[in-house]
Parts: sequence; structure tokens; C-alpha cells
Amino acid sequence: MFFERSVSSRINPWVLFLTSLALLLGAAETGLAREKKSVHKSATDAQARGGDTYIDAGSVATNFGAADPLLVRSKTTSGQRSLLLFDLSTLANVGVKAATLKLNVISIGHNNRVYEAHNVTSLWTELGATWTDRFGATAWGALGGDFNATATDSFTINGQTTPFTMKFDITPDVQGWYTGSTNFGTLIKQSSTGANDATGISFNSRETATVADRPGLEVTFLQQVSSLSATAGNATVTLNWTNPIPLAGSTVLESYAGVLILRQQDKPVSPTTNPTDGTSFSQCNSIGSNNDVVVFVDASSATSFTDNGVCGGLSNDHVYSYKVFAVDTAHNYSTVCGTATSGTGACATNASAVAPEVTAVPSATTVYQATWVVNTLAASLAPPGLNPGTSIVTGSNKLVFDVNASTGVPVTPPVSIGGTVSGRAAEIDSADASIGHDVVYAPAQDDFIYAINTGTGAFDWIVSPASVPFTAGASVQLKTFSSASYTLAQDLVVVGTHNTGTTTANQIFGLNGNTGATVWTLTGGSLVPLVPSMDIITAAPMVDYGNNAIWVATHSNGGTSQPSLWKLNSNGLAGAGVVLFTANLGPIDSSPTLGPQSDVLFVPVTGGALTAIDPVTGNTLGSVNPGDGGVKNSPAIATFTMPYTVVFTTNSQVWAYKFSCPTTPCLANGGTFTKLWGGTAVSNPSAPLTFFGISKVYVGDGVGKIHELDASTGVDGKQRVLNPSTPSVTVGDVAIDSLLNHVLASATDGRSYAFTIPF
Amino acid sequence: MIGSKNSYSLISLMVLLLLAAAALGGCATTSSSPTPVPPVVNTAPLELAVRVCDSGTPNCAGETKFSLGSLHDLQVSVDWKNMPGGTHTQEITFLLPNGVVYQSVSHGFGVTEGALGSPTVGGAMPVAGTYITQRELTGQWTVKVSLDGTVMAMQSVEFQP
Repeated sequence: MFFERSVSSRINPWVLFLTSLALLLGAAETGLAREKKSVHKSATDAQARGGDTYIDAGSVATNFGAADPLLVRSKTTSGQRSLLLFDLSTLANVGVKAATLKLNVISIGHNNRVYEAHNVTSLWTELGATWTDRFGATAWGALGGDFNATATDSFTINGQTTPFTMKFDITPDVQGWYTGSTNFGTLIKQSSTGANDATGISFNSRETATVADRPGLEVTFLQQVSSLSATAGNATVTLNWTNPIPLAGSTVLESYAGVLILRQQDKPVSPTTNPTDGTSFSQCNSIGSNNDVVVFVDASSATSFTDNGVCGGLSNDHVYSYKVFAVDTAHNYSTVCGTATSGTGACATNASAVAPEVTAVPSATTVYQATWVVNTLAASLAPPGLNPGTSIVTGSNKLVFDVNASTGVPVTPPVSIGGTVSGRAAEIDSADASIGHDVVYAPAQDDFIYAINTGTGAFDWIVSPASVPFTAGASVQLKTFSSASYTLAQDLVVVGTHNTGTTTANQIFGLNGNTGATVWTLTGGSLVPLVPSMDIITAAPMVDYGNNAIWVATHSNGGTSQPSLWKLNSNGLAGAGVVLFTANLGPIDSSPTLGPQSDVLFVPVTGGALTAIDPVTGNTLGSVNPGDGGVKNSPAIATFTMPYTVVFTTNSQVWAYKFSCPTTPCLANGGTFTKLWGGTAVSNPSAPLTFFGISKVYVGDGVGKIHELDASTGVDGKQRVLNPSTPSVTVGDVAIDSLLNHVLASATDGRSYAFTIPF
Repeated sequence: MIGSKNSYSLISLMVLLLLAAAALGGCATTSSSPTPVPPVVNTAPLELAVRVCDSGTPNCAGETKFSLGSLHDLQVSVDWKNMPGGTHTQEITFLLPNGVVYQSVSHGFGVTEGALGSPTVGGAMPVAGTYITQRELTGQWTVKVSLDGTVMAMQSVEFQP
């Protein structure tokens, strides 16, 4: 309730009286969830991802990111609007019930003027935003900021005296930020229906000295349970979890009571199934159109539940999905549903996607369970980026998720960026990165490359070296692992463009990992230096430490008339260009794989042959095409030295060939591929993954499974079902966390999964 | 067919129905503001036409079926009529055949205050060489067009092998 707002004058006085009385009695929060916390910059919350500024139509190129106070007024040719963005890292795993933006207004102009809060729809930065630009020289789509035309809430000046708190209910926007929409903050403006107002309002920014006067976002929420795990048995599944405890600095409104657990067979619990706040449920109730079943209702803070087959029983060898909601004493659930109007229409899209879920397969013979499952709110088929044993990074649409590698619990709310990340995000550990902290490099389809500090979620840099999209992941040559022939002072981030408007003039950029500055550029078809035509790049470049080179695979205008494999000098020597040699092999969609001794490069020519290249001379050493539509994905290498066991996939099969060479170095066409096994049938396989020492090959398929093949025989011995839903789910390229012994993959059901290996 | 070129009348009806549904509380993410402010006073209904094309096809009038073997980018162009003045954001969302979001692209744009505009706002989803072709994500996809957070049109497109 916002009594400062003019709308309060229309409320029945008796309602006001009773509500005020209820407030005094401490009962006015009935229906609210358990905790309420104000997020703002303070000594304990740096708000690293946050920011505020105002933009001025009278000073269109000036940034006011360091200003205090911030200004809002509507005046022809010189109006101002304010932008606010909050870092919600302290509320990483919550179901948001309500959110109120609070501004400490210190001056006001005309009475009865209407101020509006709008959801911002483009990325901006505190020290970059102006009336014309979002950051740097990147313009807004419309002068004065990009935002939804419909105000989320409004506030009418109604005789207040300064200072006072201006409040906006922005619950729908904040709920959206947790359920798949980008969080670019809030824009405050005067209503466009107002006439000139030479004064407007001013309010304190986050730079003001008194913490209580800084802009704040008061969020009412329930936390999620954590450390959820499942253990399958013979016709049983046991779940364990940790109940939340109140966050530091939060106001406890109602006590957590326990949990409610939903179950579904052979498909996930729906992200739109929401137990209605204020409603108590009984075991075996069915909720939602997905008919998800309540299998456990607890009000005693239990931390474990064994499903022995309640509510219809458990059938062995089926996949059971469980979703666990925290619940308070007023029967509010940890969904993203507003409590003020509980029930139909009160919930955000996918309002229960934020609640932890897990899967398990009971069996009399072969039980298993997912180590963790995380709903990433959109589909991705790129392998998760890894900081082994620590964190997993997954790009999903315009969000970048950083989750705990052991538990799958998001470390922070996802980082919102301007474009889709469709390739693998390159995650670098602080010990190895020249930038000095954990960092992720993510090229995106909005023409930008983002460097994100995964410790804080803040941007290290954002650059757009070309106004064309990037669909492939970045590769990073780390200075700490490079030889003396690498002369750059920092890590090198290499990205390639996906400009389908040309088959000849795509580009590759080498960027300074610390700053994003362009170290070198390679443009297809340029004359000085002379560069051959370059088609689109869909595969992440590959770093060749042994030869201090970067390998890039490209399309080639549908044939072999122009190069598709490029060897580049990491240092990008001035005047001499960066191209060391090229090969016309035909279109390549996937990255090549280098032998561990840097002596053979295995190149997957899409729909063609797996081709072995000498990485020093560029000579073709040999090739193999087993049929079945030709090579489909990047190969994997199971041995450490020659002869190499190379595993690759075709349309519906997995193959292993031994590559050997009688001479060292191998001579042109001197190598031999010898079939070891294959083709092992796998429907629509992903790129396989194996490496020296694990004796298994892991590959995702097109029907919701990860297969574990014996690297010696190719026998498809065991599988793990991620999601057996219909229509079938495609499992993306897999990754392996060798410290935790996890295989990881994302899928077209909008989730990322981890399973313990070996199966 | 919704979204085919010049199908303004049908889409206008759908827009009105969607707006009516939103006004009745059927949309969970609409504003809770008790004092909604119309961007401009007018009575002309907002209309749109959606064209979905291969970015490599010149003078494309809109297609509904695409071969993954030859598709470059899936280019969506939205032709608006009677767009109220002010700042707006259009979002195009591409949904997989199972209804899961694959990706989205949004654009802010402005229309002169006090006027009705007829902007064309586009967005594209890269296809060639991406996981869509590598993993043969065929079937009936959905293109969803939203304006300022409200769904305005949905069109089905088929990706064929």
C-alpha cells in the first residue's frame, strides 16, 4: 500500500482506517511471504552490478553517472529521466512476491504531476548512459531510453513536503527478471501528458552519503530450499534438502513452515504449475494442467522425504521429476507469484521455474539420479562453460547463469546482456586469467562481446568490434600457459563473425582479455594485407599452444573454392598480417580438435570427411568418411600420444578410428585411419566427449539422453535419461567436470543437467 | 493465416482481443498501476503484419516453410500501423516446437509524440551453421511478437530437413 500516492484519496476511508489498524497490530502483512529486504548500496552490499544516473535532453551527450541527486522533469528540449538498476545478488534464489522501488525525493516542482516507472528494455551502464547512447557510442533505439511504453506504476505529487519517499510498485518487472526477462532496471519519467515543469523532482542517488537516503528496492520473497538431492532405490526415491534460514538484514514476516513437493512421471513438473498462495494442500492433490501430484506436505521443517510410491506408486525404470517449494505458515509458496492477488493471474510466466527440481530413476537393477538440474528459462545446446569443481556457466537466450558446480544452485541471479549467447561461454579461473579474477567471455548475437566478472556479475568490458552478430563461442589464449613465442602482455580473446550477408568478408578479432581492445583484425577479402575470402564462422576458434596459433573453421560459400580452415598467428604481427596458412576443405560448422602432442589437427568437414592436418606445414595427412551423411561434429581424442584414437559422430552413429603415421613428423598423405569400432547407433548425436584416462565416451542424443560408450569397444553400455518428454528433447554438446566427475549438458527443454560419471 | 502479408484486419482483431484479455487481468505481467497513462489520445486501432523470411531472399513477401539446408537467418519484419507516439519496445521471441524459448531479440524505437506512426521493426535469428542445423531442430517453431511487454501476434513457421 502506498499512501503517498494520489490513488489513496479514492480509497474508502473505512478501508484506510482498518488497514492502518491492522498495520499497528502487525497483522497487515497477512498474505505476505516470510521475508522482506531492501536492496541498496551499502557497506555490506557493493551493488557491483547496479547503477543509477539521469539522462538529459538538454545535454544529450553528457553522462551523469556520478551525480547526486538525480533529476526527473518534463520540459520541452531539456527534460530529464532517471535510470536505476539494482544488483539482486543477495537475493539469488528466491520466489519474489512483491517489489517496491523507493526514492528519497528532496525537491519537487508542480503539484499533481504524475511520475512513472517503466521497465527498461536495453542494456545501459551507469557511466555510459546519455540521452542518445546506452553506453560508449551505442545509441538507444529511441532517444531518451528504451523502455516499455506502459508504465509499471505511477505516482502523483499530492501536496507532499520534502523530503519524502516516492514509491513505485514494480512487482511485475522484478518477477520477470527472475523468470526469463532481462533486468535492465527502471526508468523514471514524468508522464508525457504533463506540460512543461521547469523543476520536476530530484532524489538522492546511490552516491549520496546517507545510506538510508539511497534508492532502494524492497523485495518481499520466500527463499528456496538448497542442496536438494535425490537418491533412487528399488521403487523408492529419497529426497534431501536444506531449509532456508532468514537472510541477514531481512525482516521476518512469517515463519518458514516446511515444504511442498510435487512429482511427475516421465516428464518434468511444469514450470507453470503453481501451488496457490494461501491455500493448503493435501498429499495426492493434483495441481495444474500438467497434473503434477503433491507427494509431500510438511510443516515441521523436515529435511528429507522418501517416496515409497504414495499417490499411485512408483514404477521402476521410469524418470520421476520432483520440485520442492518452501512454504511458510500462511501457506505462501516459493513461487514467483504476487501475494496481493494470489491465484490466477497473479503469477509470472514460468513462476515455479525458480523452485529447485531434481530427477531420479528407481529400479530393481540400475538406479540413478541427476546430481542436479537447473532451469535456465530458455534452451541452449552449447556445452556449459566450466571452472572445474567450482562453477558452471551457461548462456541461455540473453541471460548468463553462474551456478555452483557441486549443487547446481545459481550463485547469483542470471546476468542480463543484450543478445543471445548461442556458443559456449569461455570461463577462466582467476589463477589463470591475466585480468586477475574469475571471468567469462561471451560473444552474443547483438554484435557485442561481453567480459563478465563471475565473482560479482559485473561487466569488465563490453565491445563491438563489428556491427554483425557472433554465434560461436570465444576462445582464449592464456598468457600463463603460452610459450615465449607469445609476445602479448595479456590473454587473447578470439572471436569470429556470423554475417550471412556476405560469403567473403567475415572477420576474426583478437581482443585484449583485460580491456577488450582490438589487438588484431582479420577481414576476409582484404587487399592489404592480402586475405582470402572468408565465409561465416559458426565454431569457436581453437588455441594451439604448441604452435602459438589460433585455428578457425569457417563456411566456404558452399564448396571448396575458398578457405574453410585458417591458421592464425596469435601475436598478429604488424604489417605481416595474421594468416599463417589456409586450407580449402569445404564448409566446417564445428571446431577442429588438436592432438595432445600438437602434432595432428583433426578437422570435421561438415557432411564430409574427418581430415587430419599437419598443424605446422598444413599438409593433409589423411582423411576418413564412414558414410551415414559424413562427419557431423567436433571429434574427441581418447589417447595422449600417437597413434590417436579419434571419436566422432555422423548422422546417427558414433565412430572411433585409430590414426597412425609411420614417420615423425608425418608426411603428406602419410597417415592412416583404421576403424576401431562403429557405428554405434545414437539418434541425432551431439559432439562426443572423451579424453585420455577416462575410458568412456559421452554423447548426447536427440531423444533426451546422454550415452556412455566404452572407448575401447564402442558398446553403448549405459545411458542417463534427462527428459523423456514428447516431443523429444535434444541434448546438447556435453562437458565434463573432471574434478567432480560430472558430465554436464543443456537441452531443448530449457534445463542444464549434471550426472555423476562413470554411469 | 495470421501474419501473412497485408492481413491487417485479422491481426487487428487479435490485437484487440489480446488487449481486452490483458485489461481483464488475463495477462500475468501487465502493469498493476492504478493510473495507466495512454501514450497518446487516438481511436485508430493498432495494426500489424508479420513477414518471416530467409535473410538471403530478396523481396520476400513472407514464408511459412524453410529448408534448414539453405536457410541463412530467419528474418522477421513487423509492419505496424497506427502506432501511438512515444517510446516503444518490440520483442520477437523464437519458440522451439516444444514451446520452450530458444532466443529473443528486442528493439526500442520511437514514434513522434502526438502522432501515429507506421514503423517497420525487425529482428533475426541466425540459423546457418548453428545448432539449429547441426542438430536438425526441425518442426513447427513459433514466432511471437510482443510490444511493450504484451503479446501481439504469434505465427507458426516450419523448419524442414
